[in-house]
Amino acid sequence: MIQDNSTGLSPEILNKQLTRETAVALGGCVRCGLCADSCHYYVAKPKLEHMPVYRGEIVRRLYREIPDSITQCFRKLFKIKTNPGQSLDSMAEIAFGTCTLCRRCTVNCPIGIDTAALMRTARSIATATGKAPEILVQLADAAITRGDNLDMFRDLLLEQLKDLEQEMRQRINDPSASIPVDKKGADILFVGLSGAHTIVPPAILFHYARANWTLSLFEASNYGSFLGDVDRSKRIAQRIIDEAKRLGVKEVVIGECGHAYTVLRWEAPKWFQEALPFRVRSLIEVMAEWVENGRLTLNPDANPDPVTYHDSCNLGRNGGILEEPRLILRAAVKDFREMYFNREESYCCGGGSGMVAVSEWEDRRMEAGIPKVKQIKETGARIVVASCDNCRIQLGELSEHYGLGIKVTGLADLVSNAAIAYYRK
Amino acid sequence: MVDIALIILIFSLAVALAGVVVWVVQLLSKRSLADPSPPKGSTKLGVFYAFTLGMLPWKKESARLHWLVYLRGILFHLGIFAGIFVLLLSLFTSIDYPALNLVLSIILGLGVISGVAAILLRLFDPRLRAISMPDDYISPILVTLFLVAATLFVWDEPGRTFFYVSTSILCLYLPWSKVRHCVYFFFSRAIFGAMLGHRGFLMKPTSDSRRLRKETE
Repeated sequence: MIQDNSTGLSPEILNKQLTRETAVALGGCVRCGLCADSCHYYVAKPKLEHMPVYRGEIVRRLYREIPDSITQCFRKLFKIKTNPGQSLDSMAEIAFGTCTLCRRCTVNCPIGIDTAALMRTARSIATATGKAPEILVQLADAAITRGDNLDMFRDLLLEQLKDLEQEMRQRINDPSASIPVDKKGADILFVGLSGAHTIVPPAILFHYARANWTLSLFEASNYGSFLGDVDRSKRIAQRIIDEAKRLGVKEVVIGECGHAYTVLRWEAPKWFQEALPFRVRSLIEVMAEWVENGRLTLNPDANPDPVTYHDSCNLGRNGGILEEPRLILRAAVKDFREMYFNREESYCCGGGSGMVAVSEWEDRRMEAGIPKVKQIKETGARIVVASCDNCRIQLGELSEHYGLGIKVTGLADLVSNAAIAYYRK
Repeated sequence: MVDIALIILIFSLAVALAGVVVWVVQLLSKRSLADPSPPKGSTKLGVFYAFTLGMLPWKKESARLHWLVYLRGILFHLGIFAGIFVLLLSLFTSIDYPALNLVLSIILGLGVISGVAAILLRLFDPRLRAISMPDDYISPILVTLFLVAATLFVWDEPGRTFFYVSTSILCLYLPWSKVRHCVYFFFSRAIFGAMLGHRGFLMKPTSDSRRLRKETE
């Protein structure tokens, strides 16, 4: 086994992870530096370590050591002057702590180099060698434990749901409204997140749309994907897949969560190397369809304040959900304002890919959020809609930190307000 | 002298080609996971977009912010295409059309200026210098040398030996250098376009994205 003395890493770890796509991202970069300004970290604080090309070099450095690489012949020529990856610790630090895998640099790269894929590989190596942030590992393992010991959690969950059901009935003034669980033959399995805010508003909308649905016993979050750990990610995703198969649903609808949608919609079929036997959609796509075909009617008078929309990187750039939230907001609010940049050019809020879970990185999160803060201020909006829980937490903290005085909310919250205003007797 | 240069050139071209083939085979032999997820957009349209509309300077913030650097890159690559054209032409016929010579010289000359600018930019921009390795200087120097030689050859037939020798050096260096991005580019853009096209990010059937965007703006 050849050891890279400069980094203390084994190139063989990387070699095992290497796919054709990663190899292209490793070899294709010409180090033009045009990616720098596309990174929110760099925009907030322009320094070398915040350039996507610099981050990519930590993995490329390792790649150049792989014996079967043709570049081995001219190995000495390819020694970079700076030393981005002094150790495994700094590699983990860069991959987890200075990149949110938002892919804004990929979109802006003339060659299309996928630095996020390289950072995911770096995360994977760091996780395999025990260098990933402990909290992310704990959260991933907790989700796996919950799946393995469902009976322990079921009664507690059902008890909590009674309260949520009560809250829902009061809001819509309909004592017959319910939140079904474990309902065989339902069309939709809805997978929310932890917290009533991700369950009650969607439940109201399912009620008004007369959907045949059931609530999942699990949360949609998949911290295994933040770790770049396919094994953990598969185990977490498998819980929902098994539940959907057991109930025989036609469709799994993921609540407002960026990475959870990307994981089940796009990544899981690749991990398992088969198409899932049910449709996977985001709640946003479902709401957009219902608003468009008239199954759900909204009264925008319920939301009179100026509203802007933050494109979550996982839903937008990584997930292809760009127009649907806008279609919904046009119907649900009186005053919708776009940020500049938006859609595919939207800045990351700085909280993605597990950053909000790591408390010791709060300062850098607040710093990385500066471009987003400027964007929000320019709109003059009082409400910022974010269809991702991590984004919501980050934007809320940014508002507090920079005194924005905004309210951060989910799309389903505003839509349920508008639906209640229309339907409530 | 020219005959020897021609032999060296043909040998170098063969080495470059063999090197690139070996390297591409290595690349293609790496595993690539199929994507069984049902598409939201179109993979083909995504790839088409990545090589066409997605390359337009106003589609990229990086190009809008650094339009001079982007323009330099375009001129440099146009010069390279002109140089390759001159090389191919030189193997089969003589270049003796003043108008064509003038056009080629202008394109090649702009390519030379762009090449020199690239080297100077890397030398004097501390950010670029910090992320650079020797290959980042050697490659543009060799390509610029190739463009200089091509420019001279267009007007000066005896410059053929210098042109062939400089091309040979570039060819021998190509399989081990970042000049390989001329091949990586196609892989990378195709992967980029295919993935994001599949996910409906870049281009969707007209019933989706365009209509939705029109309605919401």
